[in-house]
Amino acid sequence: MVYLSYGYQLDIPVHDLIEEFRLHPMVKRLIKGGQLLEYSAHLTPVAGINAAPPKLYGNGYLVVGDAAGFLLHLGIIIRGVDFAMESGRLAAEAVTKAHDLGKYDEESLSIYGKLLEGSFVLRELRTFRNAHKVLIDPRLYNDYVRMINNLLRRYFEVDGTPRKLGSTFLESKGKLTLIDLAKDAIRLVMNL
Amino acid sequence: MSLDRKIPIEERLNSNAWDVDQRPHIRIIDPEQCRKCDKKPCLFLCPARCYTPGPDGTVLFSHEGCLECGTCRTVCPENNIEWNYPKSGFGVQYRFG
Ligand SMILES: Cc1cc2nc3c(=O)[nH]c(=O)nc-3n(C[C@H](O)[C@H](O)[C@H](O)COP(=O)(O)OP(=O)(O)OC[C@H]3O[C@@H](n4cnc5c(N)ncnc54)[C@H](O)[C@@H]3O)c2cc1C
Ligand code: SF4
Ligand code: SF4
Repeated sequence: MVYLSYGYQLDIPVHDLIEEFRLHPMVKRLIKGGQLLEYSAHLTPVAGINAAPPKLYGNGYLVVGDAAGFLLHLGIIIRGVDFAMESGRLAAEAVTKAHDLGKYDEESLSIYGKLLEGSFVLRELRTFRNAHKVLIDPRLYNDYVRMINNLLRRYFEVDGTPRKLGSTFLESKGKLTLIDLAKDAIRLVMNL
Repeated sequence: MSLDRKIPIEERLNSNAWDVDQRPHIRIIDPEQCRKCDKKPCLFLCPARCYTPGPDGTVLFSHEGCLECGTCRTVCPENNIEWNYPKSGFGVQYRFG
């Protein structure tokens, strides 16, 4: 997955990047014996309901799934299939009601808005409204991953020098400062 | 096809099923804008390498391998891309989702 807003910082094109990823020893191992059946690409709205269209229903239309911004991006997981299914189901319910009324204008379809309000879809998406703002920080995927790797390597390596957790940690944190760590920890806890 | 090496993008695209329309569904509106666009994100972010560097800072576009992802339209800082899906029935035909 590539955040388009960081696309400017790429030094190799994404179609090459994916091959480097695929041939990374960790990934290669997991897909060993696989076959290339199809090559595809897909955009997905990580800003969730912040990127939703201003209106989710109107005269003759209802907006569901990704198009409605019903996507939750929580770092290593992207969740949107369940929201797409549930919003689709609620939209079908709204259309059935509108069918009974024989009208498909904004007012008759507004039941969709009410159904969404009562559903897990908006509840979840609102709870994590700002998650992407924290998760988009490149530090999480660079400096922190490096820090965790360094820390574990230093801690478990047997080279005859004693390892105390505190000093190992300070050695491993690289260019991250304690203030960075504290700020990021607070931001993560507040938004996730 | 051995997966132990980097597979050139053309070869990867060949694994797809297509029915390419002669008429391009995407168009660079003003080539002059591309010359002024210094980062040229389309070159880096199109997953199908439909955008390639042209002479004098221009960018060449070819619609044949387009995966219809919409990335170029989203990232072009100059709004210099006219973007449509191919005509009904044409374009890439995803068989596996
Ligand atoms: C790499 C990646 C991994 C993901 N992993 C997960 C995961 O593990 N779990 C999860 O829950 N979610 C995941 N998601 C998100 C999930 O895939 C989407 O949220 C979900 O598929 C959205 O469903 P949808 O029906 O709203 O949209 P889509 O699945 O995008 O469907 C839209 C359909 O409309 C069609 N269409 C578009 N324009 C037209 C037109 N003009 N005329 C006719 N048809 C048209 C398209 O061809 C498409 O078939 C992932 C997404 C990505 C990109
Ligand atoms: S991003 Fe847009 S303006 Fe820049 S080179 Fe590509 S098409 Fe041209
Ligand atoms: S829609 Fe996607 S695949 Fe097609 S030209 Fe644009 S970026 Fe490339």
